Amino acid sequence: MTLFSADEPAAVRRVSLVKLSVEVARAIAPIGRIVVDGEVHRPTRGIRGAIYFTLKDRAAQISVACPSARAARCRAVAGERVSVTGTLSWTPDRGQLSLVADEVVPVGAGAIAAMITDARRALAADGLLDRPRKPLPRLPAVIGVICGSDAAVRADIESVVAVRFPGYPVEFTEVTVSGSGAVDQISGALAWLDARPEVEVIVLARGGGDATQLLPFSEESLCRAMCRSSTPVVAAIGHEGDRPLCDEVADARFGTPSLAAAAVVPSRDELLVELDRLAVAAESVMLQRLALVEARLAGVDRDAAVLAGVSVAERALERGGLRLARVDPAGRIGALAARLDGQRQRMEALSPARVLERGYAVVRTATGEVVRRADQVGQGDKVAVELAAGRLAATVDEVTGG
Amino acid sequence: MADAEQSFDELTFEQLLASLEQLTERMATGNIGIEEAAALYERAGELHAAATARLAAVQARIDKLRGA
Repeated sequence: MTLFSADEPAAVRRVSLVKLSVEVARAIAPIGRIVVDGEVHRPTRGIRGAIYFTLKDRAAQISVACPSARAARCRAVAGERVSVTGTLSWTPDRGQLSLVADEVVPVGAGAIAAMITDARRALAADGLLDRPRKPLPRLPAVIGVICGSDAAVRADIESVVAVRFPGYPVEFTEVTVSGSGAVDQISGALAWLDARPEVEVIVLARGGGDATQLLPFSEESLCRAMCRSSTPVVAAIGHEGDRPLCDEVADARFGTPSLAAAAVVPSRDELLVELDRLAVAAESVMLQRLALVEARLAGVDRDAAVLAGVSVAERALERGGLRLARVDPAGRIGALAARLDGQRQRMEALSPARVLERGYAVVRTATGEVVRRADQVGQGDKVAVELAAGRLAATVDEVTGG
Repeated sequence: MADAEQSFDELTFEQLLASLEQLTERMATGNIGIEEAAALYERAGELHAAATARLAAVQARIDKLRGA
């Protein structure tokens, strides 16, 4: 028999205080976790760090207690309108009903802005805003993505992967990205991905939303969790123009999830072009050096040079007390010349100039990029055509295939 | 060269590319001998091969994942 059962007849009954207390506790248990909005009145802080205040509305009020373990997630500023997430609790020895909060967040633009300002100040005081940022890897083994369960953000990122490097390993971790529990879930996902060595960059992504929806990304504890990560963290929250606080602590920030994906997913084509460019650069520098040496060798009287070289070497060796190399210095110089010649021939065989001589041409865009596929240029684009001798400036008349 | 003995495996992809660029720059300056330039060129070839292999390994992993 319960006191508060609806089908109980309205009879006056005598009950003990203990029984009443037990019944009250039993009656509130099914209410579970709730979110209640109201205004903060008379906030106080307990000795162990717990926070207490009265949550008031025009017609009602309730005591709110934030245990010390949750105090970092509870912002209680007198007069501020807040949203409290928690469960009802009945304290029999004091006969008091209270809401035990695990999250108190501000409601409304003014209060949210004030919270962000406070959080920014706390992060700055610990040097977290201007700490050195970690560089993003060019070829991460696995890219970790933390996002909501809505399909849009994931689809945006997947389409970028499909263009830049089809099949690139990206691991999505879906979490609650707004409302109560979001900060805990995001922080947990961050720690989990950070603990995995193959995940070499983490993207925190969320689509657009209003200030309240984006609030978790401005919370101090999430920002601190990002700073703790030893893996670089990239923030991509909302749309261009949204600037949540996590942008200010991230190793890199981008206006949208697509932009972030384009920055962390390597482009296979670009990498191949870059490798080509580096190989060609090393080769041409080496060729130039060899040409220079060759010109100098040709420009001097070889016998005189050998003799001069020998006497310089002899003097140097004598000073150093070495006698061994005097046996045949001329032979050593001859060997060096032969080696150079062999190297030059090898280089020349590889040289892009040789390829051009066979009738091939290199086509570059106005920005100097080598054109490999027709779809790199559009009709009317100016291109430069490099031939074995001289170059042509040309305009694209028609583009087919690609 | 101090880092000549360093294994390529310990370098990240970007370090491989950066080394390649540095080597080319050093080769281009006139204050090293032609023999040293040739040695640098040889190492540049090795770095280039290592970077290319790194990219190929990623592709191979993707192909394997897709095949599975």
